Amino acid sequence: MSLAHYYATIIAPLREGGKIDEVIAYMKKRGHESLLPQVARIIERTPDSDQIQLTVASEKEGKKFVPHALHLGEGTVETKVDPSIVGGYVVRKGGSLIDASYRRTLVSLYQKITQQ
Amino acid sequence: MDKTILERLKKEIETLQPKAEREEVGVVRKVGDGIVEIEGLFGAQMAEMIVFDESSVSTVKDALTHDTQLFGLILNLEEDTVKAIILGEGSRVVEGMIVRRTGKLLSIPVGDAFIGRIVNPLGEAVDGKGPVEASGFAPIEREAYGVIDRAPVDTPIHTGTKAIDALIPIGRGQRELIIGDRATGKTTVAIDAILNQKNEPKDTRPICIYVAIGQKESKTARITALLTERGAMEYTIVVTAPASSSAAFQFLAPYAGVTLGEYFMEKGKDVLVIYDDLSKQAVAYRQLSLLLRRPPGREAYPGDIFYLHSRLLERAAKLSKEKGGGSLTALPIIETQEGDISAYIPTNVISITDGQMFLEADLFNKGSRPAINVGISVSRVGSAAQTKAMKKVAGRIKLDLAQFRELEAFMQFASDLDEDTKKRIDIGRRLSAVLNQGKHEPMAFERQVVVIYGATNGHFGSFPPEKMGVVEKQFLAYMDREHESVLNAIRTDRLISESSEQALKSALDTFVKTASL
Repeated sequence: MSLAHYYATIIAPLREGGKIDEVIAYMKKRGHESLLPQVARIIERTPDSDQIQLTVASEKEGKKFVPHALHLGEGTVETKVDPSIVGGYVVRKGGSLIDASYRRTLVSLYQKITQQ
Repeated sequence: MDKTILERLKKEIETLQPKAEREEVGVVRKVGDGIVEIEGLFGAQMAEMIVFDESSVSTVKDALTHDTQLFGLILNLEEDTVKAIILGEGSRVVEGMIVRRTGKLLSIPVGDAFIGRIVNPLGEAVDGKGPVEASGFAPIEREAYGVIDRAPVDTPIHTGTKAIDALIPIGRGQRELIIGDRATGKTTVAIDAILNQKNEPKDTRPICIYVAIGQKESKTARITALLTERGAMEYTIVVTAPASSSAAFQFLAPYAGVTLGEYFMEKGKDVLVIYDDLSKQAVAYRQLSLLLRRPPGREAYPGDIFYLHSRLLERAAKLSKEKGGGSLTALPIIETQEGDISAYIPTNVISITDGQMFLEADLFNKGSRPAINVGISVSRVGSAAQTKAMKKVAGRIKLDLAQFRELEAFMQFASDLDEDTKKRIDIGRRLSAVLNQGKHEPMAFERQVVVIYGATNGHFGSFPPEKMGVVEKQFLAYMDREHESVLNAIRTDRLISESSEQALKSALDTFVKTASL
C-alpha cells in the first residue's frame, strides 16, 4: 500500500467528523501535501463499504429483492431502477456482484445456443 | 424457423437454471489499442482470463449483436488497477463496462477433432466448418517438462529435404531454428517437412501443427490449400493469427500451437510444430509491452523478451517411457534483416534452440534450393537420431562440401588447377547439384539414401553436374521399377545391409550403363 492509500484510509472515515483539517495540517508538516489530489481520487473511487446497490427492472420489484441484496453482507441498500435488465435483480457491493437479471440469462442462453 | 433450432431452444429453456452467484468484478476505466485498464478485481491473478459483460452497458437487443463472449487476459497487476489485453474486437469494450473474473488461467480447447482444422489462438474454428468438438481444456501457459520426465532425442524426424536429413538431421523432440532473410525459402523448408510426413508409416507419423503468426491471410490460404491438395491436412492443424489480427492474438498463437501439440505428446504421439515466425511474435509482444507501459530495453523490446521465446521452446521435448514416450519437435522460424544474425531476437533464439539452419539470399540467387548454407548450419542433437543408413551415406558429404567451398573461388582459373583440386571441385559441384531439390518435392528417406549413395560413391561421375536433376529422377524411376525391394529393405531396416548394398551397387552400375540423357 502506498502512502497515499494510508492517508486515504485515515481520512475516509473522518469525512463527516470534521477532523480532516488536523490530518491535512499533519500532511503539510511532513511535506506530503502534494499527495492530496491522489488521496482524494482514492477516496472517490473507493466504494462506500456499507453501501449496497440494488438494481431492479421496475419500482414495484424493489422491495421484493431487498432480502437478496443482503446476501452480500450488511449495509444500506440503495435501489436503482433500470428497465434494461428486463427482470430479476443485480446487487453490487464494492468489488462483489450478484447478477440475477433476466438480461444476463437471456444473453448467456443466446450465446450458448449460437455456439452449438 | 428450423425445427431443430426450435427444439434445441426449447430444450435449453427447459434445462435453464439461472445462477445467482457472487462474483468478483471490476469496471473498465480506460480502453484503447487493445489494452484495457480495469479498476477493481483486487483478487485477480496474472494471466487470468476475464470476461467483459457487454450486457452491463447495453440493452438485451444490443448485447445479442455478438454470438460469443468477449474475453481478456490480465498481463499487469498494478496498485489500484489491472491492465489486460482484449482477446477479440477491441471496439466492443466501452468505459464503465463490468468485467468479471473467471478464476481460470487462459485455457484453450484441445482434442483429436482439431486435426485437419484451421483455428485461431483461442481454439475457435476459422475454416467455416463449424465449431470443433473439444475433449477438454488446457492452459496455454504452463511449465515445461523437467529433466526426469525427458528422454534423450534418439529418433529422427525426416523433413524430406536431402540437405537437411543428410547434413543437419533433426531428432524428434529437438528445436531447430530456420533462419534467413525474407524470401529465401524458410516457409518452404517447413512446409516440405509437413508434406514429407505423408511418407512416414501411419502409426509413427507425427501430428503437424503449423502456426502462422502475422502472415498475410492469402499466404496461409495458399499453404492450407497445398496441404489439403497433398492430403497433408489429415494429420495437420493450422493455428492462424494473421497480420490483420490483434497483437494479442499474434502473441498468443505460438502458445496455442504448443498447447495443442502437448495434448498429443502426452498421449504418446509425436508432434511437429512450426512457428512461422517468431520475429513477428516478438514484434507483437513489443507492441503490447509498450502499450502496457512496461519499460523498453534493447531495440525497444521489453526485458522479458528472452523468456517469451525460451518458455515456449522449452516445451519441445522427448518424453520418457514412463510419461508415454511422446515427443514435440519445434521448428521456429526467424526472419533476419540483411542477413544480420547478430540482431537481438535472432541471437536470443539461436541460443535457445538445439541448432539452426541458415538460408542465404546469395545462395538462393545462385539457384541453390533450398538455399541452406550447410557450412554454418548445425544440428546439436540430431546426429544421435540419424538412421544408420543415412549416417553411412552422408558421412563424407559435409567435408567434401567444405573443401569444395574453399576451392570454389579458384574455379574461374580451372585450367591452372592440378588434377586433385579439379577432382574435388567436380565432386563438390556434383554433390551440390544432388542436394538441390524442387519446391514442395520432399523425398522419402530411403530414396534420399540411394541417391546420396550413388553421388558419394562416384557412380554419377560420368554425368555433367547440371544434369543431376534429370539423372536423379531417372534413377529413382528405375529403382521403383526394377529394385523396389532394395528401397523397401532400407525403409524398414533403416540401415543398408550387405545384401542391400550389393543390390544397390549393381543397380547403379546397370543404370549408369543404360541411362540416356
